[in-house]
Amino acid sequence: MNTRLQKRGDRASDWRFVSKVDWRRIRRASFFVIACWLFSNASPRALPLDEESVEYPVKLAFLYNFTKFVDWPPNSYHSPDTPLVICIVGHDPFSPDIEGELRSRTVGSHPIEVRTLRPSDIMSVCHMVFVPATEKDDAARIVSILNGSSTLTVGESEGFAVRGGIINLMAEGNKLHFEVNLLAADRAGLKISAKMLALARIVHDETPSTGN
Amino acid sequence: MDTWPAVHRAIILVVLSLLLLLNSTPALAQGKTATPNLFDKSLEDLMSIQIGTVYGASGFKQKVTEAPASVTIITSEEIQEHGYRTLADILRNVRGFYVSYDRNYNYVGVRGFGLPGQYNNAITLLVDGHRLNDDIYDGLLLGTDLPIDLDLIDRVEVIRGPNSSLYVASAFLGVINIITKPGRALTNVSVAAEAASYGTYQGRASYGKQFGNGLELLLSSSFYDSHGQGQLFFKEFDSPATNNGIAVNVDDDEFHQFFANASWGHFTLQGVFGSRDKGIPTASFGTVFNVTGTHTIDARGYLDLRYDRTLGLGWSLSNRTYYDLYDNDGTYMYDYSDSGGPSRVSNENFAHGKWWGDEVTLSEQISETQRLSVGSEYRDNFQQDQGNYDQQPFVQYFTSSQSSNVFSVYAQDEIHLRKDLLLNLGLRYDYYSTFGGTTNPRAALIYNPWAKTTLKFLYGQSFRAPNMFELFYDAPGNEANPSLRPETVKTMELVWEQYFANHFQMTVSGFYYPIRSLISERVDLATGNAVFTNAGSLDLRGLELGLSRSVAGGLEGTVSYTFQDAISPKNQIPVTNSPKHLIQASFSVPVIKQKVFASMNLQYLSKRETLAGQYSGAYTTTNFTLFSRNVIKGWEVSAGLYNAFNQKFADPGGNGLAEDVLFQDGRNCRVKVGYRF
Repeated sequence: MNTRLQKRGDRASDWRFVSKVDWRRIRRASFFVIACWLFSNASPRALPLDEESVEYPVKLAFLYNFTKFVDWPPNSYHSPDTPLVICIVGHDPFSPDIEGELRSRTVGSHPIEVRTLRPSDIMSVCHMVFVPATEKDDAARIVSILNGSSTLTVGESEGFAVRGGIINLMAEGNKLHFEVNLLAADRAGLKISAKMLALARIVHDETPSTGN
Repeated sequence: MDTWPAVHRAIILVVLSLLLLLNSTPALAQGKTATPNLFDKSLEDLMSIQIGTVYGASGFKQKVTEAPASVTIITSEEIQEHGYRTLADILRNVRGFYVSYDRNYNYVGVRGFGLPGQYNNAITLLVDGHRLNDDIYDGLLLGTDLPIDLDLIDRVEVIRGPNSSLYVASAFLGVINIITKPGRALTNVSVAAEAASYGTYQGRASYGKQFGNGLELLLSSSFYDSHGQGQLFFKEFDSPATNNGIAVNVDDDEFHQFFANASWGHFTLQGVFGSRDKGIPTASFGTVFNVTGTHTIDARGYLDLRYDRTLGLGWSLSNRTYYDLYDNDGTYMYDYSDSGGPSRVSNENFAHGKWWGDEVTLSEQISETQRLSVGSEYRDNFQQDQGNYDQQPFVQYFTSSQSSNVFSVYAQDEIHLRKDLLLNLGLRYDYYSTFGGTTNPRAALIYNPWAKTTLKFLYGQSFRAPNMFELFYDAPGNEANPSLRPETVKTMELVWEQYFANHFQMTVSGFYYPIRSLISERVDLATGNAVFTNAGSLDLRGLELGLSRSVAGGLEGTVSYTFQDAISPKNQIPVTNSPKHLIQASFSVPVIKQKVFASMNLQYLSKRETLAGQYSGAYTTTNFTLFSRNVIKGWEVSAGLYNAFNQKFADPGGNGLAEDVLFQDGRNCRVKVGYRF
């Protein structure tokens, strides 16, 4: 980068550079800022979630979205108004407000029911089981218990899907994406729509010998 | 005399930011009713919402609020929407950062520390965790010399303060972590082309894919060619013998770059190479004014193989092996006719470096409340050559062939003392073959008294090792100083991050950084030679205020004010290029939802002292960009107007320049078009 430095000549001249204050420019810039602001505030696109608490509300919205793209086998509902049951295992990371919002929604004719369960509870009533990061040590056990039932397992920890879970919500950078283990979905008899798969990252079962 | 306008401008921007706040009040009441919107969003929209995590500060992924530092994240969307052309453009809009340019290299200043000619060695730049600083100047490349195309960047994390308990030395004042896009983000073939003022053209072609077997690939190549300013006036050369101070057609700039990233299973292999050739119009280092031929070529490349995996039982392992090269070749045209020699002699100056290294990190979630990371790095700088010679007639002025190595171990413990209290402790030991060992601790206490309030108490010690240029550069007019010791800094900082309703976030930060044994270049009066010495102390203190608002898919805006004061006790070191006040503002608004964005950003710097003891005046630059994405499917178009109000401004020059200040580009523009097949 640098190179030989010649002995510096006398350049301490009394020359001075002082920029003039151009109020016109400052004013123009200010107007632009204000205009931007007014303009932006005029259009309604409120999503009133501060950055700090946005992760789990978004994750819950993902769960809701998944219900629209996954087909459960017909026998998983007794009647058209049987609720679709979303179970959250262990420590519930979602706020009551936003869970309440989810409860007010329906999927087709089925109302949504949200339950929180302990890891030891029976989960066969659940259509969807969410395993939060805090319960990741129990994830393998939960997945193996649910093996063979038509339950959509959703996790949020590294390796959840490759170890038999069906969907894994992962942060990449500061955004969320999701992995889908298609074989695991097949085993559960769940059909996932092509539209959702197009957005997913498809993963495969990891052979158990490399797991631990 | 220059202070009052500065204050006035500051007031204007503070008033603006208040307006911003006040204007939002009616919306405050609507708060919760809009929550359902989130459930009505499509999967695509949900995937584009930013949830705010950061990797760099302590090596693994964590929330911004839990990072043991003050952190700013710049996303690829912001890079596009603001029409940023170089990393220097990005940094100009990061709270507390400013950049100066000497028509060859860009120099970043932060926390009032911006000594020109230091080649940015106080800051560490990482690309996906790989250190980009070279092994001779410890410098980092911010302009067209950065070997990474901005289109390949997923985000940039700027971490203020030293994080050397997890990173290599020279992360003295901050860490900039570039995270590149994964292959699937640039699926199949995409191309981009741009044209800009001063005869500037750039092109890129990329190929990305995620294959069924898990292999993910990204290949990209870019080129750039700029004629540069046709005429540049330098008042120091304003005489008939030197074309009345006008340098004609000597500001040219060109580069080519290659990038490859392949990840498969637990492995990631990355290869980067870039080479830039820049003409120097300033007649630096006493070269002949207004002749072509004085230029530098900076070539930087590396191969980096990473292995990451979780081992079960809460353990995760990461290993990185790398091979790096950096070649700086400068050609300088001299006139020796005064001393009876030829009137054109081409002088060559080079710095050639090659190094390899290995870094292992092991982290373990010991319990629900504690996470321990330990790591070790070995770096072998097996080539650190410098030299200077005249080509014809051949005269060798000096050569220096060095090699050195560095060994480091570090540990970091993150302990959740209580639900609202996080303690982050770090300790790092480095052994340099050039000067010996040094141990540096770090501690951060992060307190969340309320859900939306974070207080960070940060303390750290850090050092910067003298680099090979400072130790051994011995061309005529310079003197080597192999006995240089590292410079040290203790950093104290208090950060208050406050989240409000309606996506508002405020950051207030106060810092005090006493630097000791600062390595600084001075002219030895006895010999007239320039020599680096541990010159003395520099105390940096200041206050940063930032207010930002970020609505997913909506307005993004930031206004910040920085007061910084760099004082050298007993005036041991001239404090140049250190503005007391900095105001930065940036806004981006969607004109057509998700498709067309209008953005503006402005930077105000107060006056800066120059090497000659003069001042370069305060200035405000304003940039506008209009960006559209998928208005026609697959196309991205942006038009940018830079320095829109044609503000005349100048940056202080460094040692080796006849110019005390260097005037910067006036109003200029760029049009960029991208297409994805």
